[in-house]
This record gives sequence, structure tokens and C-alpha cells, in this order.
Amino acid sequence: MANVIAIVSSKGGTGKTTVALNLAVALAEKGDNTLLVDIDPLGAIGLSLARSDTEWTGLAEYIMQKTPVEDTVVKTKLATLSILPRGRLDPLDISLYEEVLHSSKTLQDIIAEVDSKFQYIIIDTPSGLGMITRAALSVSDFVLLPLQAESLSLRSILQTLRVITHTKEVDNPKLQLLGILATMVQLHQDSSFNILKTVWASLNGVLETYIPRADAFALASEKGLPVAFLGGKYPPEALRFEMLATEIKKIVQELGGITGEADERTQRELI
Amino acid sequence: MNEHNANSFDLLQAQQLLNMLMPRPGSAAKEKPVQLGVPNYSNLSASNLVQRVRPRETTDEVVKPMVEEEPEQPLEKFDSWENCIAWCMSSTRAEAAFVVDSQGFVIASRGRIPSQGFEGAGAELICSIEQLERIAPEAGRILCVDMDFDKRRIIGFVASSEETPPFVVGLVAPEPLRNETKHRITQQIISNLPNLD
Repeated sequence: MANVIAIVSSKGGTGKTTVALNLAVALAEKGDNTLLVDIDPLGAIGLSLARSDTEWTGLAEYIMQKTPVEDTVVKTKLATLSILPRGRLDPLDISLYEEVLHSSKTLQDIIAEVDSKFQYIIIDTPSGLGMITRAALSVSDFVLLPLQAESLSLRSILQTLRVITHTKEVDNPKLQLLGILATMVQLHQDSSFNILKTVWASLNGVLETYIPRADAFALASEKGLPVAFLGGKYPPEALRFEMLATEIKKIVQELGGITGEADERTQRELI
Repeated sequence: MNEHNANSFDLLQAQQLLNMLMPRPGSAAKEKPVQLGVPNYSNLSASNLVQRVRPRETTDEVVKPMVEEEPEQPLEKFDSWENCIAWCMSSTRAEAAFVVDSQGFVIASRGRIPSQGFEGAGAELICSIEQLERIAPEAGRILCVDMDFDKRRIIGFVASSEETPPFVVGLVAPEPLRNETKHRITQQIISNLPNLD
């Protein structure tokens, strides 16, 4: 049984895809079998990994019943990480794609098929609170809310929370909020620092880990890599995602998620 | 909350929702709890708009009139069967839809079409409806058949008029529909029959 985590935000540009990709990598590097599912019609995960828009088959082909799920899952060079790409979706068909994801059991069926093979399934959603986001929330166990450390993101957080609350009440009672993840934080900048201060003072559920705005992300994006895979000195931003993965695993465990970790050890001798 | 980063009312609302979503130890509210009620959103799903756009009764939080019936909404106009079944799908959240003519030939289909297509299902549906009408000849014509299989639901809406032979619109795995919704969908299809080839 996998822990299904949707990364959701009403506002665009908050770093959902960056968080989804790098969190999936961090969880996988901790040894947890992880599947990263890209349901964003933009195919943002593929684009982040510098893949051509039509390179991978995926969700679109599964919806068209051309390809079974197992054939659409891309295995990565990190043995514990797999990706279910968006597929070769024609941009002209996006409204139909949204309609099918929302009105059918596509996501539910996919998760049922792969559930036993992974400990974590991370779903990267498009910006906004439309049909695809609602579909993702309705099949997830947990939701993580990236909050860009700037005013507009803070002002719109109520919208996202309202949709999460509603989904939990109406569609998916098992849905639990993992927390709010501050992203693109620039502590040396007054406006960013003030937002973070306001969030810490006003809202609970803000994760201890936050993700700073850093050149490493732009470099990783340019190279089509997760930040932990950049060459040279191990970037502190990758360490942030390791911390995030640890914090999320702890919260998942506290919330009764399936971690499979009894943390039982054999006795050892020191001397 | 300081300066103008976000309206303090919004943040209190956000905190209230967080308290509901995260009632776990160690996440106690940092603000004194205030009863603020429901955010003052305009609820489109409770307005007439939803009936014009997506006339399905399972829309979340639809406020139903206590006494008076709402006036009939104007019917949608479709210029093709494709548009008609697209509307049926979005109205009922069906996985797929198809339309067959009186001979059982598939005229249009949309959504998650099974590998074997809808040819067989369409022909059997037409044939079954003819058989079913014999159960109670005095009861008139069948307008709709709602079938619950153990793996899936299928609804067939029979649309016919004086001038045209019957067509059947089949919806695969729609949401459960109330009678008035079924009636509205049938009326919608029938009213458009003259425009549909």
C-alpha cells in the first residue's frame, strides 16, 4: 500500500513541480520505492527533465486505452524512482483530458494497479483548483501545499484550504493535510521574510523545512535534472529536500500512513 | 497579519480550516479560536448557472428550493451528436457515451471507448428496449433504461419524436441520476433531434 501525496496550490509558480520532483527523488534516495505521477496537462515533470513534449507515452495513452499502466511507467536510473508521465497529449485535447480525469475513475484505477509496488506516490497537479486538482485530491491520502513566500500566494491560501476541506468532507474523508511548505524563501529580503513571519505567526501546519529560492534550481532546470543530481559540491538545496523527505515521512507515520518501518533493530556491541 | 500581506480575516479563516484539517497533537491554533463561519464566497453551484451549464443534481452543495420549483431552464442547443453526448457526459460525469440509431449502428461515441467499441452494446440495447416495451404495452414507450451491472453502470436514453425514428444515447458509468435529471436529459436530446444528423 502506497501513501499517495498530492502537491496542490491554487496559485501558479509556487514550485509544485520542483517540490514534486525533488521530493520524489529524496524519498527514493532514502530507499522508498516512489512513483512520481505527472497529471499536469503541461507535462511539467517531463519538461523539467528536459524531455521533449512527445517523448514519453503516459497517462494520455492509458486514457485512450492504447497502453497499460505498467508500460507507461518510466524507470529511472535511480532504481527506487519511477515516473508516470503525462504522455503525448495534444494541447488541443486538454479540455477533454481534464473532463476524463475528473469524470472517470482513471486515477483511481491507476493507483489501484500500482499501489502495491510503491511506498510513495507523488502526484504533481496543475496550478489552480479545477477539475484535475479535484480529481487528484479525491484519490490521495495526503496533500502538501507549497506556499511561495510572497503576498499573492499567502492571500490565495484560503482558496486552496477551502477546496481541500470540501474534498475531505464530500469526496474523500481519508484525505489529510501534511502541511504547508514555504517555497522560494529569501530570508534576506524583507518582503519574503515578512511573509514567512506572518505564516509562522498565523497558521499552524507550516512545515519546519522550507525551500529557499536558489540558483541551483535554475541550473538544475536548465540541465533537466533534480537538484540532487547536479555535479560538483552537493548543493544545500538537495539537503533541504532530504530534510523535507524526513519530515514528511515522520508526519505520514504520525498520521497513520503506511511506512512499513517498524524501526526495530538488533542489539549491537559498542566495544 | 501585520501590514497588508493578507487580510487578517482571511488568515483567521485559513487557520480555522487548518484546525479542521490538522487536529493532531502539537498543532494547536496559535490564534485564539474565533467562530467566523463560512467564507463569504458566491456559490455558483447553488445558483441557476449550474443548471444552465451542468444540470446534474449531484453538484456539491446545491441549495434546493424549499417550496417553489425553479422555472424551467432554457434547453441547450447542439448542432451535432458529438456535442450532444459531450454535454451528456459532463452532466453525468460518465466515463464514455455513445449514440446508436434505430438499427443499432453507432453514430457517435466519446470518452473511454472500449477496445471492442460500442457496436455490440448499441445493437443489444436497441433490441432489448424493444423487448422490454412488451412487458407493459399499455404503459407507453420506454424513455430510459438504467442498468446496474456488477462492474459498471450503463444508462440508455431513448430519444424519439413523431418525425424521427428512435435514437438511443448510452452513458457508461454515469453518476446515479434522479428521475427529474433523467427526464431533463431525455427532453434535452429530443428537443435537439431536428438539428442532429
